[in-house]
Amino acid sequence: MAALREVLIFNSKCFRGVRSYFCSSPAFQYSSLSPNNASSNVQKLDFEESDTKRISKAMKSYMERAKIHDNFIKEQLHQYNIGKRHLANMMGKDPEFFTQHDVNEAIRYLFPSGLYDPRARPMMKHPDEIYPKRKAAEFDMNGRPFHSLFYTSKPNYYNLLHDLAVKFKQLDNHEDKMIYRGIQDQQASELFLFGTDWVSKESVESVLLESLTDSQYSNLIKTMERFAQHRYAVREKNFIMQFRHQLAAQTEIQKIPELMRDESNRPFTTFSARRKRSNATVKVIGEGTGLISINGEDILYFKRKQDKEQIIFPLEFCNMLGKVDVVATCEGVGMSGRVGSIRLAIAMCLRCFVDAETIERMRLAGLLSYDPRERERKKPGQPGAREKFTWKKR
Amino acid sequence: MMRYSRTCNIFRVWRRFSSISAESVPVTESITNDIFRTNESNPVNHRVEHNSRFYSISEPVKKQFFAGGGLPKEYQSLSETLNGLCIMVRKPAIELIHYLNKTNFDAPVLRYVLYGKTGVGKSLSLAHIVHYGSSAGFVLVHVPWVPKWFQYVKVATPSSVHANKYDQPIEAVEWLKHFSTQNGHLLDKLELKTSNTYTWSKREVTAEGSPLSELIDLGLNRAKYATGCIVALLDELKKAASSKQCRVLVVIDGFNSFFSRKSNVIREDKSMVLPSDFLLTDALLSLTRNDWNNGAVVVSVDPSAHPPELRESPLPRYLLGKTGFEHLDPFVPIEVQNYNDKEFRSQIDYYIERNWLQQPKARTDNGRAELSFTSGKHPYSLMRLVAPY
Repeated sequence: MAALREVLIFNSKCFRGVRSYFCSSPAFQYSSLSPNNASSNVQKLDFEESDTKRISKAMKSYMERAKIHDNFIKEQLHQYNIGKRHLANMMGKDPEFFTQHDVNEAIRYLFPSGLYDPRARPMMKHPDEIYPKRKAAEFDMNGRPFHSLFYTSKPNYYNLLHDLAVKFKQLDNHEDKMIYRGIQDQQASELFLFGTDWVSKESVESVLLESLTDSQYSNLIKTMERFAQHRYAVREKNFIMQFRHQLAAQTEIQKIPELMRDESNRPFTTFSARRKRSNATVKVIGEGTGLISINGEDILYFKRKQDKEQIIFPLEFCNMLGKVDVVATCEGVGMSGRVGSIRLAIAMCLRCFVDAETIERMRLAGLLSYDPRERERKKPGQPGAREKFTWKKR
Repeated sequence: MMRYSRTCNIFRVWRRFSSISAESVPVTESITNDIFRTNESNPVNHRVEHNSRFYSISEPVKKQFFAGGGLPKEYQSLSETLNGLCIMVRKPAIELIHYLNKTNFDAPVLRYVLYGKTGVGKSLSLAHIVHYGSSAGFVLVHVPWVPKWFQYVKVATPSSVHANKYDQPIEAVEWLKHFSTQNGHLLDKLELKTSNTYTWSKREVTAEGSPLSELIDLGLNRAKYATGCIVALLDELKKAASSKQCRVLVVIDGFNSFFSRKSNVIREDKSMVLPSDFLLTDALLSLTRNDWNNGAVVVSVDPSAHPPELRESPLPRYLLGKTGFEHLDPFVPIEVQNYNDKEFRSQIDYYIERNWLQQPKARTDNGRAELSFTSGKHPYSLMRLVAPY
């Protein structure tokens, strides 16, 4: 994906007529014939002459805009680099080795923000990350587009699909050859796709520098899917992998804590969890008899049946009901929140006592995921979060 | 039910026993195939071996002793659904029966206080003791639930006997009826007589030497004097017990209500009538004092017998307060706890046998573990957990 992007992003020199990757037909067929030049075979690259005479108003304004944008980006980059050095000086670090991570830390220290959304907080980033990329000039001096598919308005997208079609043909030819030679090549093409998934629409858009509709994106993915299912798709592995991203393994995300031992050599583990403005700290002790203590009281601390069932859920799911002891302390407003936090904490602790298969089952059952639901804010002009006042027609 | 009676018939052992000296008779235990039941329906013979087993109380016995109260309402209706009243023999009751069997009746009366969280089994233990008391030949003075006398008083009138105290005519008549149902035959047998003359009004006099049943009948007929009759009756019983004419067992549920600071009776000047302002309180406090002998006093203290503000702790010292504690001190405290594993198992077996637990999962170990965990082995919580409503 990165390689593809490099090829597509040009610098400002491009509009002087350097041949692009996507240019399918040679430029000289369409180059303007200068009235002074008699021989049409020679490629005339003196745009300077035709510049002043044939350039249209639209082209002129386009060039101006592109120039302004380029200068702007250059200026921003300059500011950014200077700013980085200033920041390094302020923080007492070496300006040469001041990374983006250091910049973020410095900004967070110098401009502490209480704003909720991370995107609203002050930031200092490389201009490339802030300002969206623009396509290089898509047509030459005379307004003729470089790309043959320019008038589809999404040349890069359709070019990609054409490429796929071409590659499909190539793979089919290869397959025919193999069949002709009698070679039964059992190349498993699914293997190299394992643990990866298709990139998202946003990623594709950022590479192609074109916005896609949902149906266009799904069309692309479907085509790639069919392509990847070809018997000899592995020959185009690099091409396909440009459009696939690695899925992070669950085991890497959640690290299971170690089992500790207490004075009587019983294994135990602790976990703190939150739910809805309440939090709980739970200690699950192995080699137990099913005792439970919540803030010093037994299970009847929770009066409602649903609360007791929430607590029993992870223990019963793992068949650990009479096998472990649970000591929990909880605080916070509301029984439901307390109970939810205790349940999550118990489930997280039980991971240390059960095998990997049960952990996966727990994950699928939703026992190990934090429940992010919070009470929705009441809005002005309404009695509640969603409830509206009685609507009167007149 | 048919199958159960048939098994009973195979194993039933008929025995004759002396009601007063129960301890001397050897017990031959007969236990059915079901290990959660016992055939021993005479509580006098209940021992440690019967622990966590259900014994059944027949319908006439239930009507005689508990018609005026004594069984928790929900338990009573559940027993009607499950086709027979069965009470589990548990450690507090066995302990009490053992003590009562071994009491030295020449010494001043011993006070026993059952305590524990609400819903843990105190009232049923007391019901068991009531049944025991009657089988063992005690005269029963049984107050089923004291707060009923103070929280839900129907009518309170200034006392005719005592100037500053209040009567509860309706509650008094109710209680006299309950007393006479429980003890009727025994009183006739014992032929107790009054030792004083009681003048109720110009025309109504209970002469000295008249039978106690006359006193009771007067109270039953004349609500105005019912409370006074109770005072007189309890006084007479104390004297009779001390002079070895009879043996008295006092069983009171919710004793700490006598020392609570609330009742539902308000005077004209909006001041509340405290439980200590009622005549019945005096009568029963006098009876629970250890200034008599040849009897026993078994009392329970429960947080739910107090108004909600005073329910912080189930312990006797907190619930009785300073006055109550000093009144009862010294007493024998007996804690009633949640079910232990054996009792819990037996309770579940009973429910399964009665088809009250119908899920097949209830019969598995997993199911029992779930019930045990969710109810916390608390008797009342378990009953509510498996209830259909």
